[in-house]
Amino acid sequence: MTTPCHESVPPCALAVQRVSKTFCSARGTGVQALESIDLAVGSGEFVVLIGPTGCGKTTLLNIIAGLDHSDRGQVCFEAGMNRENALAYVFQHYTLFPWRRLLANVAFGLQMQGKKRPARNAAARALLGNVGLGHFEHAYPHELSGGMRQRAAIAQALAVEPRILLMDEPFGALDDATRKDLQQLLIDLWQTTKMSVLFVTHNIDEAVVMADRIVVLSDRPGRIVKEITVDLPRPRDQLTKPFTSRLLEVRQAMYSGARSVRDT
Amino acid sequence: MRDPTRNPSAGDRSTLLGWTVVPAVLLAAWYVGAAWIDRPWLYPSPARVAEQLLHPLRDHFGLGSLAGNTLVSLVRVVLGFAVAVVFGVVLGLLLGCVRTLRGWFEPCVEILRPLCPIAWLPFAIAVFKLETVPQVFGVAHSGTILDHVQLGMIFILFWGGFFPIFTCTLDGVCGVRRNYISLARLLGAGRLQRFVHVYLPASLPMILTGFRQGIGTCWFVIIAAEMLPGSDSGIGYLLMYAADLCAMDVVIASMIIIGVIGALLNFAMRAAMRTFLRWHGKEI
Ligand SMILES: Nc1ncnc2c1ncn2[C@@H]1O[C@H](COP(=O)(O)OP(=O)(O)OP(=O)(O)O)[C@@H](O)[C@H]1O
Ligand SMILES: [Mg+2]
Repeated sequence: MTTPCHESVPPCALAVQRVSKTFCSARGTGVQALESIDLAVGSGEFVVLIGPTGCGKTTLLNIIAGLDHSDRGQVCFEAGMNRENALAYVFQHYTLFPWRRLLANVAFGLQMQGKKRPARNAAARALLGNVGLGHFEHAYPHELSGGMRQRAAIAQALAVEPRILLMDEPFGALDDATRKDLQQLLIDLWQTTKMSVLFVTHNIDEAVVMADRIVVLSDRPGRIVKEITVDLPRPRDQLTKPFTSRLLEVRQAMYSGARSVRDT
Repeated sequence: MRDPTRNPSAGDRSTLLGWTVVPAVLLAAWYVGAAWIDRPWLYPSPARVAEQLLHPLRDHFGLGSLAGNTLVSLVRVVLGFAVAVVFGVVLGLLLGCVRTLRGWFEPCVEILRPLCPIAWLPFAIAVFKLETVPQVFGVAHSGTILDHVQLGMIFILFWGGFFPIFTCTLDGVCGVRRNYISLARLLGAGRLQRFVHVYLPASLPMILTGFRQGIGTCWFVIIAAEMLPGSDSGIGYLLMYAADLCAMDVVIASMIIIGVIGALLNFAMRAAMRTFLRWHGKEI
């Protein structure tokens, strides 16, 4: 079902073409979540998807990951890549296996690939060290704080060395300081691994800090309102004029995508 | 480890009361009541029952001893339960994971489930006669306790233990959160790997709950089965025929043994769950 990418320039890791999705609700009325989404993520690019709550961001990631089917359109990957060998996904409600200790959770993907225990544990241990959880490899997920679990979930996804990483509001439930730390950590990891990232948030600051390119979605049904390229050097200083002007640009795009009459 | 949210002093105090004062009061009431009625052959005093419990190896009217008969019942239950575990877990996992199989077998299961295991007794006797486990292997008399373990008994115990284990396993598998399955799949787990590394561990708490219910039901069922014709030993058998001979002290001693062993089995299963499933009930 994964076809090679047709867009050739620039080389893209992932392309979403004319994807639409309507859910059937319990009362039989349809809820249209996505409307004709066209989106490409270049190889090694960091794309941030931003939009109001309920606009279909999670739905889009689920469709890309193959957890949900689109009604129309298709998802295709760079030649030689498919969901099985290239993709990792950090869920909005981060999930770890509660019956596994942290080390075994992070090593899960490698275990499934048939890596021997010493090799996979060494790799998992190194990753846990990278996300600052070196001392917690024997802990169960329920023994960790939300931020720690989130870091563990990121380590778990990175363990399989994905070429494409999908992240759904990974830092949504964290305080500002932790969020900043994890943002920096993710940028560092992204720069060393050169993977492509599709990152969902509804935090405008976060979008401008992280992104090569920001894709703004409208209110439900989600349509792409605007794409904003952020070509600022990293690490980005949030107090500079170019940064704040990008913030403004994203905010304006989001307002223009909001429904004119809000049912609040 | 202790749960710090619990008030330890209040919990400890009521536990202490439960183990000391409340049993003491009940015992005293029994003592006074028995003395007041004063018909020891019908309503024996605690002292007479205790005397029996203190001599567990004493033979009663050729029916065997308290300890010997208890052991027979326990061996039967362990064997019957083991068979129920094998079938219950395997079928539960299979039907839980394969929807077509569930469709095929659900109606039959629903009809067999409400059937009291004891209802299988005549059928069991017709099929297995009174054949014992050693006889299956061609040994007429092994001289061990297994000579008292009839296939029919195991068959009935199987039905007692099977449904709790099967039902709990099935519910456990069907209740595994989609997220865990999706996560495993995205991390590269194939069908068999998802079965072993997600379905099985995720439903383990339910499977062990099934074990706990199953062994309780087995213990229930064996006592009843041993009281029926065709039985030659076991604590239920001793209890039934001692009553015919008006040895109420033996009857009550048997009842106490049955209660205590049932509680111990339950307690052991709970302890096993606590040690093996530190994460249980704390899913995030
Ligand atoms: N399984 C489902 N069945 C029916 N409707 C659904 C289902 N999943 C999502 N929806 C609907 O689709 C819309 C988009 O949901 P989605 O979870 O993709 O939003 P989101 O952009 O991720 O929001 P948030 O920022 O709050 O996470 C919502 O309005 C929701 O009601
Ligand atoms: Mg979402």
